[in-house]
Amino acid sequence: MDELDHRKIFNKIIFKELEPSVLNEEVIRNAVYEQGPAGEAGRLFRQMEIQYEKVTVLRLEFLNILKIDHLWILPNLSILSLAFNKIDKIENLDSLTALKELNLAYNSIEKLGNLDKLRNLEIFNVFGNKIRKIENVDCLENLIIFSAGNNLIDTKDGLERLRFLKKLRSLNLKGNEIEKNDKHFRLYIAGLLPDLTYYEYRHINKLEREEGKDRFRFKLREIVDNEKFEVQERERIKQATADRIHHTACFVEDFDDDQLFQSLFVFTNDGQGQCLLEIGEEANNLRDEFRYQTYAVTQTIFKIGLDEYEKRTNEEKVFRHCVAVGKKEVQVLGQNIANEFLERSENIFITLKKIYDDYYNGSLKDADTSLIAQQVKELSEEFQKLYDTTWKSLMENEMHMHECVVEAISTFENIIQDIMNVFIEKCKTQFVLLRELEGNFIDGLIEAVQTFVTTKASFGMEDQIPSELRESLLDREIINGYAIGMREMHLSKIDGREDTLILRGKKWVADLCEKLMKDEIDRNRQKVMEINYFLDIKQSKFDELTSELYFDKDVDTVDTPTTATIETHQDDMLAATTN
Amino acid sequence: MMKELMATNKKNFRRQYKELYPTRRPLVLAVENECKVQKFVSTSIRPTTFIEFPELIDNWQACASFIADHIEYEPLENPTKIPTRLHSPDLVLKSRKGNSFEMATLLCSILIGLGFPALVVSGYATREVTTNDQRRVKCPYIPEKVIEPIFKEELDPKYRLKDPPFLKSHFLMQCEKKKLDAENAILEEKKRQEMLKLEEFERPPPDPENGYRTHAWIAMIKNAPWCYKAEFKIEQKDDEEEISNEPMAFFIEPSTGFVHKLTDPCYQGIESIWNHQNYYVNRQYGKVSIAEMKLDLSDTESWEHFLPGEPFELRKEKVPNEDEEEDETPAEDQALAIEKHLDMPTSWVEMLHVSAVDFEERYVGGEKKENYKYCIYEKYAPYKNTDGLMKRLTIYKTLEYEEPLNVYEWYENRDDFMVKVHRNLIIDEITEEFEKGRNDCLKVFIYNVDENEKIVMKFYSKSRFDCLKEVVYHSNYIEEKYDENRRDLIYYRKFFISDSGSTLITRNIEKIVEKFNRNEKKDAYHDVAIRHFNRSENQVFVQFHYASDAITATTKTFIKPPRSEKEAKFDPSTIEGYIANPWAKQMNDLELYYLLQELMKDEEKSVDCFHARDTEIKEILQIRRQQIAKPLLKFSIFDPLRNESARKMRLQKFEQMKTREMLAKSQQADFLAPYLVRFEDKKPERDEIDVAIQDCLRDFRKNYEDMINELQHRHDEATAELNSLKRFLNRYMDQFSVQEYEKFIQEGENIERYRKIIHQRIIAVKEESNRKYGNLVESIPGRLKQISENKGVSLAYGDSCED
Repeated sequence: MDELDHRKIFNKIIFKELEPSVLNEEVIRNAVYEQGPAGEAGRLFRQMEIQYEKVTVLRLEFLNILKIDHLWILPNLSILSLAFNKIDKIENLDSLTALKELNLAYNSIEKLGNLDKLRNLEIFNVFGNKIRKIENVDCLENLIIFSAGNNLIDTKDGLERLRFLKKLRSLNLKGNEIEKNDKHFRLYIAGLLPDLTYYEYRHINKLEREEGKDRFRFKLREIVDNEKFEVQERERIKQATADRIHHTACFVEDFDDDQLFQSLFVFTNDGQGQCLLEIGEEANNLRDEFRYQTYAVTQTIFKIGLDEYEKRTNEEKVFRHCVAVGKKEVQVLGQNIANEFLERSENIFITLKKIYDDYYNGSLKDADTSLIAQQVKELSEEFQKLYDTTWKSLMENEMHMHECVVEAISTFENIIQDIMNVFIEKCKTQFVLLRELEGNFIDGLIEAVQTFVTTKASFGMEDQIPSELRESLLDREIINGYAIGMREMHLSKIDGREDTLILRGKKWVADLCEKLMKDEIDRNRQKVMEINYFLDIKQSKFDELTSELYFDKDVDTVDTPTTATIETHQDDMLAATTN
Repeated sequence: MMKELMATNKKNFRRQYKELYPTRRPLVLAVENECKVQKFVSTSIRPTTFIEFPELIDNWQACASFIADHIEYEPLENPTKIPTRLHSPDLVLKSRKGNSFEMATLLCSILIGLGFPALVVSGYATREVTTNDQRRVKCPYIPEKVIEPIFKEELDPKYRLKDPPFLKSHFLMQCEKKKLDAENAILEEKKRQEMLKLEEFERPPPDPENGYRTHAWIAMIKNAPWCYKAEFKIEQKDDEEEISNEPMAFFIEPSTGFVHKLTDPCYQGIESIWNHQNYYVNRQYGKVSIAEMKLDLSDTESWEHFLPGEPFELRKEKVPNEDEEEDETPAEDQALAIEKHLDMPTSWVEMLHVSAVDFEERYVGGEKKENYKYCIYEKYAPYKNTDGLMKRLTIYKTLEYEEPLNVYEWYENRDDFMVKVHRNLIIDEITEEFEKGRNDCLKVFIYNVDENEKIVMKFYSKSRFDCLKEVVYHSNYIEEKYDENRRDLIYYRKFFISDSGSTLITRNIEKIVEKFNRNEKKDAYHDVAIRHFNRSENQVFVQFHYASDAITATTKTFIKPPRSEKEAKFDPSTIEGYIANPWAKQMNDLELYYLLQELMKDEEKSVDCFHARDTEIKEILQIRRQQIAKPLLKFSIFDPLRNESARKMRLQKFEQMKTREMLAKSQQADFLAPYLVRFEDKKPERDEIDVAIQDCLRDFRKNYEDMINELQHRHDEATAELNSLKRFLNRYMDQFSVQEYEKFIQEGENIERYRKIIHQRIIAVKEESNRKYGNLVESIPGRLKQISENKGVSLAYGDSCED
């Protein structure tokens, strides 16, 4: 009571419109209900439990919201309006990846940002805010309409970033400081954004575009020069990511260039003989030669990887196609059987119903009841027979298909295994070659270093010898020690790369086949369940019909045993399948 | 000289032949032509190409059938004797009739002209062939139903799923099979007996003169060395060079244009064979049948040549050896020896010609009727029939052409694009086929004489906006089939109409069945496959698509809320149906409600569709009725014979040009005309006319005076130049070299000549001006009279103008 009074008082004192509110589940729920279907559909909608993941459109306007929050409960939202609120920061929108339209008009936003995750955004409206600069929008690759009118934008900086939005067609910056003081602003935009079609919702004609390009040609040239590098970089990264995905699928990632070689000369701790390379010309030559040879080998591996990938995908395609065709055939067969069963059982039901009706109409005499019992018995026998044959043929088909598919999968497994083994073998030979090359390199290096040290020492120029090597004047073994360290490091890297390749390859095969098998088993179970469910429903319907007749007549010759036997039979079959 | 040589050769050949084969009939060597002059048969062949008819070029089948259609066949006067006349092919083409020899010669001329290896064959044939009686020949024009082969994809055997195991006893199967076989054998035997009986029945009565009837036809030699056509070359494989060199052949019957094999029993013997280059007598006659005959014409053992030596193309190529190169003289002698023989004289026949009109008319009188076994085939020239009928094939039940069973008709140039009609008189069904191009895109139209039967319409679905493929129209139902390109994926729809017997306008739809293709974008449990709108029971039945690998599909039966209540309460418990996948998530109430709403909306749409379709079909039927009743023909604008308006226009233009020319020729130049223009509208006064005449004469004179003055001026110039040259020469005569001097002399002569020419022209112009002036003055009074008559001015024109 007390609380209620408080409310009343509050409502009296404070204008409700001015009271700031918080975005929470209740607000969202109310909005969802309010904007949900109306009429009869609305009634049904309210009856159901609210499904936030099905909401795709939501308006949260005039609610004096201060902070964007709690919207992660609507993951599939595609159109969101938060206009006419008191939001001052764009935040907490990262989970709304499906968002296509975002309306933040008439808020108090001061800075654009936190839009990186909204990759699918097409329409973005921040009209009537307090934004000072266009920034952080070049990540919205799919943006088509962008409205930032009536803001406080007073700098042209950042506008050139819109050139990266290739799909942007409509832009509105009316009512900003820059636009007010510059009568050529429209021309500037026309020249700056070649893909833009509408500025301030008016079509940009050719003349404007040409004039804009002409008037601001120096500025434009500067901008183009500045962004050139970034454009190239973006392009390169895009290409590289796509390539890397493909190469990883081929198991030869980082083989397209000399990454392996580079990794060989990344020294992580002492004792790996980095100092051996500091003897100058000689070592560099050896290194270059080694680099050249490794590059040839890695290229071979790379090529093998791409080729083998092609082979594997083709094989998989053929296999999947064959199995799909076979499954389709059996499926159609099963559908026909099921339909036939439906038709025939329907006939039986109709006859039964007729008998039932006749019986209850009371037009029959006692003498006929036995006849009816006889008829019902015949019918139930017929139904059971139908049930049996249908079940049997359906299950037979299914079992046979399952066996065939399993067999096909194992064939496929063998073949793909063979292909993978061939690939691995091929790679292995290349890796052996790599190790040999590495050995040669190290041997050459030792010799070179020794000669270097000896020569330097004999000419009395010890000060030119790197400090770590100076000790070798006393102990020859030190050079060898360094060399062994380097060698070990190299070998461990090469071996590690080889191991990843082999392991991943084998894992891929194993995963693929396991998944195929699992899917097939799941499918088989599902199918068996479907068959039994389908027939059981019909059986229960039949039982229902007959029991009504028997209930009255006390003729307890119901074929429960038959059903029971069938069920046990089914269990056997099921057990067989799962095994 | 040549002819005499040929004549002696002929006589000689004939004598030898008689000596060698006393029992054989005399050869067809030289026969009288239309002028009663004996001509050697080879020279009657006149190789000709009809380049004006592109359909004949490089197509021997078309040529053969054209000749067979174009020329009326006449049997020989005395069928067992050799022919007494051989009209030239030229005359045959003009008179449009000929016997087998004439037709064979004509066809051979055309085929050789087109480069085919054709020869005329003289020999013996059956009575049916010689009298062109085809009443026992199976008709080659009966359309056969084309069965499209079912394409089955060949799967990779290593992954192909095995067929289910065979669980029946093979022994029992075999027993069954044996039993069946035995039954079949009895049936087969029965069938064979019947066939034999039928054959016996169909066989014509025996012919007492069998084997003695003279006939001529065409032989086409395959692999002939002189023929360059690719289709008549048997491909030579590298490994079997020797075998494939043997020439092959087939026959063409000129009276029918049909192709016959060598083994065909209708040809009974070959006496001789010839083309425009040589004449060959068969030496294998009586020894072997036609099929076994050797056809290598260069083999003199089998074929006696009329002219010794071979025509150029038939000669075997001599490979010049290295030895022969050394002594050249013997090689030359050899060449001479090869060339030293008689060549066939060129043909005496005129160039063959068929006019475009004749070619289009094709048949004698524009139509031809052919009797075949159980059927009659009628052919007509284009535009001969007002309904565009080109060919009609009637199939009868008996050999005497009673009780027609099937009628096929082929049409051309029809305005309604109909090309074929098949009337099945047994079940009274009519099938009309159409070309692309109709506004309603109709392709096939099947209907029955009895109007209550169903009507089937097939359409060119690609050209229709609604992708309609087929409609079956019946008083109780309308069935529609669509192709797969529709956006709503419907492919089948059927409306059941209650047979209330009332007027057709208020037909009541009882039930609508619709079937849809799978929409891959949707979940199978939400993608409707079949819907039934039971309008009489106020029910909607929906079946969804099968999910992948499912054998049962979800079904739902809705009971429609009464229409009066707009926002009726939705009760999900009234929905019945089977759920195929009870473990998956099911449709919630709201979705069900939406589904029902959508279904109800779609039902209304379907009802609209029904009415639209109903009207459309009725319209089509109406249009068809009109088109059948009043067939219209169309013609190409490029048709030189038919495009009447263009032709008229051209004729008119030509006529106009001609009259203009004639007019220009007949009229004299009217010098006065430009001066009379000013009086065009009003009557000229006399003094006005006087002024006009004076103007005319003055202008005329002035014109000539100007011309003379100009010429005089040039003349003076030339004289001055000549004089200056002379002076120049006189003064500096000594300082020139001889050549330079001569050059100047030459120049002087040129100027002199030019001067003389101008002088002559001045005289000529003066004469001409005087003469023309006289003419003009003379003609003026006559012209004035004309004017006065035309304009009604009374003029008493005196001689005032004569000065």
